[in-house]
Amino acid sequence: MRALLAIWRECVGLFVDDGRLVACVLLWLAACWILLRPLGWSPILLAVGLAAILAENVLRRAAERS
Amino acid sequence: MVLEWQIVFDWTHAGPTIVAAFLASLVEFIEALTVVLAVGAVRGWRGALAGTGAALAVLVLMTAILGPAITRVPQGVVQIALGTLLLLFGMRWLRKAILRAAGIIPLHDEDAAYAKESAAMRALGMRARRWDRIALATAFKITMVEGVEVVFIVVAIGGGGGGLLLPASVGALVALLLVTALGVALHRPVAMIPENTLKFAVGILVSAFGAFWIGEGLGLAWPGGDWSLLGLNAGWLMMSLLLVILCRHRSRMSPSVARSEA
Repeated sequence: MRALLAIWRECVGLFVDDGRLVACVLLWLAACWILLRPLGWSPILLAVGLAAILAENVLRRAAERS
Repeated sequence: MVLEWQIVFDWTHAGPTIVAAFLASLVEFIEALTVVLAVGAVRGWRGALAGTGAALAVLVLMTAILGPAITRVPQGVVQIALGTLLLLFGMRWLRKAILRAAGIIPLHDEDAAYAKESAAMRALGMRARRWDRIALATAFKITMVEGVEVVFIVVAIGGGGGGLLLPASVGALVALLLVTALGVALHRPVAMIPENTLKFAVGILVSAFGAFWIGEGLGLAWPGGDWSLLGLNAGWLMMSLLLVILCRHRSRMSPSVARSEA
């Protein structure tokens, strides 16, 4: 059981460092799924949103040093 | 002319696939090599090499099973699922690489990791004469842990588009051969390779692939078709470099001790 938990933690660790970043990305992908496809908007919006999420995350982390 | 365009068209995917798989695998294999070298030097090479070999065999088997299995799932589903995982994986690496490049969190040090692992191996006491179980288990575990990431990258990048598993596997295999050759030649951790720069590049490539596959899986039309993958890479690169500058500026404005982040 302990070994399985360790493997699970390793697998989750591949994708999650900062839970907030993961939550924001998944929410944005869900929003794109709901909005972009039916409205036929450009997928560039998808990429721009992801870039904005990363920017907010690292800049907030940099500010937290204080 | 048609053939020429076909080759260019294919290389817009195959080129970044090989590079991403090679660089990501290089980072993971270097980290595994550091521990395997420490295990081998302190507890003997027989157990260290046997553990590494056994793990590599399991990893090859995993790739051989997972890769073809994924091609049987509808491509749209695979692109969204793998694209999401690639994006989370790539953005995690990119975030960490940006913060390290900006000095917000400390850089990874292979020499320090080697010293720490060597001390841990010595603390476990005398080694067995023939087969050292600790050496075998430690080498197996580290090769599996780092290798699973390589398998994920190969399968995820290669599984999103038709015929990309082979280029992704080639990239990973070349990285394995290179790291093995360096390990045999140097007999010490490969600390001269700028690990954070590699992580930076891999983060960009994998994030670009992730966003591209998700767009494709959602049925959205990328402007320029497959060429937009190159545009995504350029966009992530420019934004990441800008973020390093902005983070450095922010950290100078609010100086304090860099906090460690696993």
